Amino acid sequence: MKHEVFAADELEPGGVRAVEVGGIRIAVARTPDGEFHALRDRCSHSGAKLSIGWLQPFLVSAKAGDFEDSGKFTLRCPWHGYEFDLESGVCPADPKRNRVKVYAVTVEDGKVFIER
Amino acid sequence: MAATETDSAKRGKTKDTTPLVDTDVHEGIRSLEELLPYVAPKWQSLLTSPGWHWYAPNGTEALPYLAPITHGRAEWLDPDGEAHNTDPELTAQHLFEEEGVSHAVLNGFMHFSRYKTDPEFITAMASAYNDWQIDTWLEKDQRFRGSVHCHAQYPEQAAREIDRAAEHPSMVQVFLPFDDTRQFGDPFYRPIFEAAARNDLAVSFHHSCANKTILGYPRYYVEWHTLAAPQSGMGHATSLLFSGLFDELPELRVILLETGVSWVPWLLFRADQQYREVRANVPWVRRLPSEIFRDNIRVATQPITEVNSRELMKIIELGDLEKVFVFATDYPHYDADSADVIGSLPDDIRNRIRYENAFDAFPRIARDAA
Repeated sequence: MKHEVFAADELEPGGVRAVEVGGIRIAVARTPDGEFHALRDRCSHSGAKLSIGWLQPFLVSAKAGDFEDSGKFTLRCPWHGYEFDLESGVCPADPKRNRVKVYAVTVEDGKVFIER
Repeated sequence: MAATETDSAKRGKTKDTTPLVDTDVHEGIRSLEELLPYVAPKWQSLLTSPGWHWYAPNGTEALPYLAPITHGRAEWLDPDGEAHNTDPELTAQHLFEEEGVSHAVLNGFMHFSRYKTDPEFITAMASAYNDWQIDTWLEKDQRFRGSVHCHAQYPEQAAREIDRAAEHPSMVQVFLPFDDTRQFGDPFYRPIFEAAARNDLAVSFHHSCANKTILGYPRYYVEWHTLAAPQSGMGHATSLLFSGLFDELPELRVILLETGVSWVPWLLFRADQQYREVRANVPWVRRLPSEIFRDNIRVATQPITEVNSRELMKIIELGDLEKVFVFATDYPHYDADSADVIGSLPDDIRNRIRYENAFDAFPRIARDAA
């Protein structure tokens, strides 16, 4: 079921904010290029609110000493810095033990909807 | 009551007939002049007075402490208090007959990579020592397995020496000291690890008297012996784990000698925590460091007596370390371990420590045993 949460222009590119849908806190992030993503607003590690974290380029590397920008972003936890992939909710450093639920997001008529 | 030869023989002759790979045996050299036949004439005068004798009179660095205990295990000392580790036949008797060892990996005492000057001469010395080791030990008894020594501060030359010395089939590893010039994860040293890997050699690390603790040389030996080796091991292991080395050389095994056992779970927990929090600092690392450690780093058990068998099992369980520990006596030192100390462990873990993990670490030993 889709829930309207806010107008798209209420969240600047690069920003993160919290919404509540059916009693569940969800962090909505908008990448610098404008894509919206929604993740459960509770870090799988220590429970911090991811909505007060920050977006960061997801760095990858083919070999030691190289830092490459993957073109993707991660949402970093405000407490310990855990990264969460915006699309999958997986923590790339520890995918077996740390991931958060992700929700489908759509933008229609300038409004942001979350599927839950 | 003082221990006797008979006691020693009884203790070592366990009923266990499975292989027992001793990953830390210190063979000795009576005099560096034994190396004379193996060095070019241009270097020979530096092996005799004054030359080397001003530099390091016994060929090894001095421990800056009053010795609070005997150097070696009582049964392995001659009446003058000197260890019998310069006589291959006696060492063979002690290890193979009395201690039940099947393969003894020689590490020596010569830490060539620690010398900061006269690089050409030191490089020649390492090469000479390898040839002396082959003639004096490896050719005498095939149960002895050798270390390729090199001057790590000159990695390309070291790699050439590894390729050369590795031609002897009893060479099973490259030996490196826990030198503090650079962390061994530094790409500077990659040629050494690459040479080891292409020759199916492990790389073993051992501390020396020159290894300080993180606070320098503490006031007493007991403090130094508590910290120096494990701190050095942790430092270099951490460097290797975050260096990407094992992604480049996944078959490579590194062995940390004489650092004990009880620190290992701590390091794995701590390194994983840091990686989860700041992975982007080292994006070339693609797995938890604890997983890399379990696959690629082995830790010799000596001095295993810092814990009892029950505590060791807890440590193994805590860190999921079934594949990590390999047996070592540290012959001929006073705190050497006999295999009896792991005798009461469950069969699967005991066999892991006696030989299975070592066979994984030393492809050449595993091949011979197959």
